[in-house]
Amino acid sequence: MIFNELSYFALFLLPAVVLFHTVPSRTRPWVIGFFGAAFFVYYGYLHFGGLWGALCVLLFVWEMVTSRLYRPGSRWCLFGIAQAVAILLVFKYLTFAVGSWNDLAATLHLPPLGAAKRWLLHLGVSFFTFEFIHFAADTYWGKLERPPVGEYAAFILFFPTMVAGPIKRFQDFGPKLKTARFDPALASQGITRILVGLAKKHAIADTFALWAGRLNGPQLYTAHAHQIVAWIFAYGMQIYFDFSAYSDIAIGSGYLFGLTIPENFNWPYGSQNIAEFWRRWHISLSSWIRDYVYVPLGGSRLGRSRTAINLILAFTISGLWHGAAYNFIAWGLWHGLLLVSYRRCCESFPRLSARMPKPVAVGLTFVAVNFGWAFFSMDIGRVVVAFSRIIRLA
Amino acid sequence: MIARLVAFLELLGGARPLGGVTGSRRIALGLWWCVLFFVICATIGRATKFIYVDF
Repeated sequence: MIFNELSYFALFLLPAVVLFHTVPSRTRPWVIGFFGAAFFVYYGYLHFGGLWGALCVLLFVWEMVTSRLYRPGSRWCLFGIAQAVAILLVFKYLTFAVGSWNDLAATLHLPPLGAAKRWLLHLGVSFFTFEFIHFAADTYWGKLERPPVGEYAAFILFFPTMVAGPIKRFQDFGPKLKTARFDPALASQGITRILVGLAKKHAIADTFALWAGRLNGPQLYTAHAHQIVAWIFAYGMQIYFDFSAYSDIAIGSGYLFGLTIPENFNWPYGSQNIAEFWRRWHISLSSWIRDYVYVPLGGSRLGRSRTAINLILAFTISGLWHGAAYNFIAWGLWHGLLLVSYRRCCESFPRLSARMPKPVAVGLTFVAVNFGWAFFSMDIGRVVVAFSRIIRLA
Repeated sequence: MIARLVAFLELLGGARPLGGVTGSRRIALGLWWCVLFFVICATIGRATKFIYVDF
């Protein structure tokens, strides 16, 4: 959907790139803003709730207006953060929260809240709200100067990254926007990147999906342990090739504008430990969580126990960000606990971690990460079935 | 050796700049695009969505 639709290239990417390189440089941000808004309206209308989904483009207009009020240390920045969080809560978590309360209320014989209105999750909400929060927080901390409104519009409406990242930072994007020019070498690299992304998605990710899809089919209840393990690993490959393909197309699209977008992946399955994995997997999200959740919570400055709590909290939030469901919370917890365990191991057995052969370390990390994908790919009930069958049958 | 393989794959994937594009490199790049285009055409149509799109 979207990047593998012809309309993305024919209606948005190619016209926007041609116009971007044709108009004077001061008009360029508005070209991106215009095509970004049109992109949101078109796909919002088509795939994400019809007219209501399309009208959500007004959120960007509202964000552009309120961002004009941001100053270092200003309460308007805090308001900006609060409204971005509120957008996420309403559109993504309200139904889940009310449903969870009702489940709990039924168990404890408390009054239920009634059925929550099912808000439609609109296009890219998890990603663009994180960019809103970054901008408001960095302005509050004095790390950003207020840019011209057109540049901010281009930042939040840059459509190649709007739907699924990479999550950009204005400090990186703004200066590049000013100096962007058509570079034939970068453009040909961008075309390669887009073609490779499409090939990865269709030829590799979709093939792994044939196996991984069985995790959510009736086969799970009759499968052997080795089959379930193989399907979980297939999902690990599917999600890597799928999401890295998406990032390839986004980054390649940026190259056509003459803009370099931050990388999202750096051979994550070659990581030797879980900490390294998170420096190489979905890099733009990991660094966002580090800068806007983990460090403000105190990071590793407040002692061992507090560091462990902060890590687990940050990863639980990261898990919840991936989806409003218990399995994503469990996935976040899994990674938080892995990271805490890894840090404790390094402190307690420094020689062991230093002397472990690289293939063994890579293999262990790969297995730990892939078992975590079980939580990501199935609801909690199925995860319990999968692991109990693996343990029992193995 | 692994580093060289990684560098080569990143070059194929467009993650590394090609450097000076000489005549033979241009032909190789064109052929590579044709291969990719063929692979895409041969495997497209399973209509699965990108996993992260509606997160």
